[in-house]
Amino acid sequence: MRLPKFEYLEPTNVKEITSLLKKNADAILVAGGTDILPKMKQRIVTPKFVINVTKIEDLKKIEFGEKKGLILGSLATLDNISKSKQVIEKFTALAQAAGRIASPQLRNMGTIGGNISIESMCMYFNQSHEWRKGRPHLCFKLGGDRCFVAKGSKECLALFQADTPPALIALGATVTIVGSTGKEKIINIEDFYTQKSKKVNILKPTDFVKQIHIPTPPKGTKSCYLKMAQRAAIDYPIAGAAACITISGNKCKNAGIAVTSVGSGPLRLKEVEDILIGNSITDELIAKAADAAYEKIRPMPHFNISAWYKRKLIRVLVKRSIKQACI
Amino acid sequence: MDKYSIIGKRQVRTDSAVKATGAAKFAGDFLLPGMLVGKILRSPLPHAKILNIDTSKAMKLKGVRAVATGKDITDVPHGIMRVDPLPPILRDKYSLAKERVRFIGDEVAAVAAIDEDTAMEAMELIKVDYEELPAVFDIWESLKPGAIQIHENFPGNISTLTAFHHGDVDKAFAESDYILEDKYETQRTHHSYIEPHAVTAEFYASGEVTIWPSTQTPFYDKVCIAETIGVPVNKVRVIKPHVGGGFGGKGDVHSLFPISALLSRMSGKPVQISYTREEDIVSTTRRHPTIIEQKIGVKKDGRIMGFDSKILADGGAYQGISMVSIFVMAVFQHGPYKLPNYRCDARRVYTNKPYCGAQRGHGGIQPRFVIESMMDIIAENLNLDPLEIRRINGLHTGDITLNKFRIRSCGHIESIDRAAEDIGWKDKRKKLPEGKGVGLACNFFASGPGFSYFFTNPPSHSGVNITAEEDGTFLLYTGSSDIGQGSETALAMIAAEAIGLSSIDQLKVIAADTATTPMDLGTYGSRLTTIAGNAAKMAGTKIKDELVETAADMLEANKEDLESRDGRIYVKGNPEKGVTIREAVQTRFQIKRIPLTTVGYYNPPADTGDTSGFAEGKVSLSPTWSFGAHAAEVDVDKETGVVKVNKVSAAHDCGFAINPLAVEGQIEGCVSMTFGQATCEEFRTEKGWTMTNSFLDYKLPTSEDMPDVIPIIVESIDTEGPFGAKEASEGANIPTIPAITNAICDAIGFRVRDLPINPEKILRALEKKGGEK
Repeated sequence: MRLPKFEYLEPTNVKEITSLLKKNADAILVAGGTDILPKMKQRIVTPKFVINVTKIEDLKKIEFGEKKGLILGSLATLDNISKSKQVIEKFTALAQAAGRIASPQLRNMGTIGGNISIESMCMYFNQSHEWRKGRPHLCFKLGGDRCFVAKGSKECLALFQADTPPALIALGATVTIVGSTGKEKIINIEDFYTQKSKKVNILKPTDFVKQIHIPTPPKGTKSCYLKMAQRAAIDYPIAGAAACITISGNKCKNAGIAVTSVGSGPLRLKEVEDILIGNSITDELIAKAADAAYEKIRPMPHFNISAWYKRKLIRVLVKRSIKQACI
Repeated sequence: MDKYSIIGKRQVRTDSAVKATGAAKFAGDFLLPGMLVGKILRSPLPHAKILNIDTSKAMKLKGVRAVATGKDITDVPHGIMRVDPLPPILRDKYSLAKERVRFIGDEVAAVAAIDEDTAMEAMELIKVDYEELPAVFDIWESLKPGAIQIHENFPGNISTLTAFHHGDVDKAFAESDYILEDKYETQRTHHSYIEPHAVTAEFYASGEVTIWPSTQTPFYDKVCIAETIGVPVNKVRVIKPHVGGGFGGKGDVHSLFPISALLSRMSGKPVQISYTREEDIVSTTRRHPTIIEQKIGVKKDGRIMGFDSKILADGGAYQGISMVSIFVMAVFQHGPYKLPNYRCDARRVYTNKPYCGAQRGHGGIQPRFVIESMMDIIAENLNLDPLEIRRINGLHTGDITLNKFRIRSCGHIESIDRAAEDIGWKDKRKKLPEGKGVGLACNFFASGPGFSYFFTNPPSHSGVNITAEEDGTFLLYTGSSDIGQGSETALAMIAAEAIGLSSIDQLKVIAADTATTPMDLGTYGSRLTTIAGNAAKMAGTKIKDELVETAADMLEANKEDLESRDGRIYVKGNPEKGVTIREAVQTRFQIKRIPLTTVGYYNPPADTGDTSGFAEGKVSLSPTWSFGAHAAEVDVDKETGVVKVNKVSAAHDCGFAINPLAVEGQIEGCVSMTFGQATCEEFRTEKGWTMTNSFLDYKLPTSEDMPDVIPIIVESIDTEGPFGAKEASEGANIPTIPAITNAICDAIGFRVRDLPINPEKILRALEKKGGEK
């Protein structure tokens, strides 16, 4: 499949990104390209301008200091993150999530900024121009008037499936967004998401993600991300769950629990966290927490995965991720 | 000294270096001067009449050199099912649709342009007026009285029917102590060869055309292309380049071949068409999905009394080669167990979906999943060992089946024993903790078809010529098609052994060029090692005989006393007294002044079955048969339903392993393909739209998913195959699925009756068993 025609731009610094975005309406940023290039080939996205940001070395950093915590430039590759010694030791869930995305080849290209900004996916949306040709109706996400996932749905129900967001939520990450004036805005990663499938994040066309920050976790903290997919590589998760648990004096002092591939965005499960915080972690408590996750989520069936199975799976993954974060 | 110098040894393939370095040229790699890019416009509708096609705007686009539609081809439909007694209406498809389209992806028009972007732009400018027709996507809908007829010549939308009755099945059931009736469903899968379909064609001013297609059957392509574009057969030359896998998916004649020739003729330039992966998955063929209702009657001791089999296959929009698919689903049930009585009714139904054809293990996969599952259930209910029931019913060397298949060699029992031993059957079956289990299943497969469904009177099933060079090296010409399985290496080994060479380096294989190599029917039905191999052996033996005669003169010895081996011809028992092959060739050229070329050929023997007709299940199907058994070990995660296949011990009776390295590779490849079908692959459509049209959505297993595969070579030394060899590339595809499902049943007590085995199915079964938590 061929890419559509576009004009190619190549900024060399962060300021230039903003000015190029402002100057050129209908532009997209490309870093690893693993998500956007297939969409361009399918003619889902046909931008006039493609801005390749990969020449900006400064955005590729992975830095850690006990005081300043972990700073990931938005262009840090998923492979580098998954293999960073400090990330593996202190931010285990993130290393696990980054290391389970797609395949080794795609992890070499894909970036953390790209992964958190990934669009929701759907069998009726992620299809080629050829496939769509004879369709009498288009779905909401393609500018149409209906959703094929559930008949009669008033809104898009495409599925958010990125792996790193639940890990980042559990670890308490923030995102630095540069806006059209060049001003930086720091927000909690949870607030980065709209929980609407049609447009899953808050980024405006002139915004871009500069970096991600995670504070150094307190002593006694461990984290874990578990993913279940149809195959050991390539696939998006059927479900994924991240847990970050801080134990102090036999009690759970703090907990971050989040899941992915259950709806329109990554979902933080406060109900589950509340069950854990302040208590000693026992098998019974973990089971109760997992049951709360099961009750909380309301997934839609997608393709050949039923909502029934997804809920069962989330219960198991939440249970197992908490257990592993407590070992 | 080993019995053989070359065969039976692990031989690196002749094409390894060019493939490892990327130098090998595939159909889409050719770069000819002035070459254009061809693209095919496909139907966006599942069923419609074509009212009008307006190509004028596309023709006017700068850079467009030709636009073709159904009007530009002859009225001869393409397809390879054509021999009497097959009715000609079995060919139901045109390379470019004439009046009607029958599935989303059907070929409607084609464009040749200076580059791909221009060709794609031109396709948008072709205006096709359709009158949409009602479409059927479900076989039950299609079978309903009054349903829309997809092809006028096939009433009731039945595309193919095979029905036969051997013995007396009703009486057999009446005399049975135990009867099991069961129902299974299998899914559509796609071959997923790494190289999508591609072709390069060049039409010359002389009126001749050369085509380099990614194909398994160049000699069939030649005829079909000639018929479609309306030129004499001898004006078409098909040269098979390197092929990146076919697995049956490149054994039908696909539309892009005649279309490329047509576009080249219309434009006066070479034309290349390379399918995108999406185009390939949507528009080529795939394995038939089936619903099989099977009845098996046995005596108390497990002896089979009879099978009654009802097979219903969803064929999709066209016939393709499915007459064979349906036929083999019915007749491959004649082994590996001896059947005293057998009735089968197999039907294929048209629907408005991408159509089905052959895939590795053709027709063996679906009924074998059923039978091997049911053998385990019967064993369980009669309190028999699953291995024992398979042993006591097994065919033996010398047996003749109900439909007169000859069993010339049989490694059935050895395969069972060795697979069971390797998996640790005795210590594991029914002894592993809940959630873990082992299972075993057997197979039976043809070593090449004994008939041609294409040519009424082929010169032979396979021809091989060998010519001596002046320096004592040789050229081997074969029409057979190596599509990645290593058959050229096997033929070189067989011929080199027959001549008495010291290495296959002394023999160069020139293959699959319809203008220069002798005819071979093609790569399908696992035929090359047995059939082309016999031809190569004959040609090689004739070379040896000629050279031994020369050497006898040179050595003043009796030719009966001479042996040709390791590059020398010498007196038996006195190896010092001899000449080199090179010396023999050179002396022969000096003395006789005639070229040394031999002709080898092979035709399957006439004693291999009743040949009175397809529909009655009577056809001379194969010169000889392979056997085998796979044993699998699985772990089931009882909380998620995920099945992890840890190991597959795959024993395969290939008669004699010409190249053990290649046989092992074939066994591993076989397991990989059906492991995928068992656990994750499923070609899905929704209202005619293909939903699984990429390798993201079509779940081909990755290397990280694969179980450990232990290939076990069983050698039964066949009397018909060259040096005892039988097939090794499809039979080992067949028992993997039931071995895995039988292991799952051992692990959790749940019998999988439809494929693929997804975690949700397993979890639902576990919850049903344990009560909802």
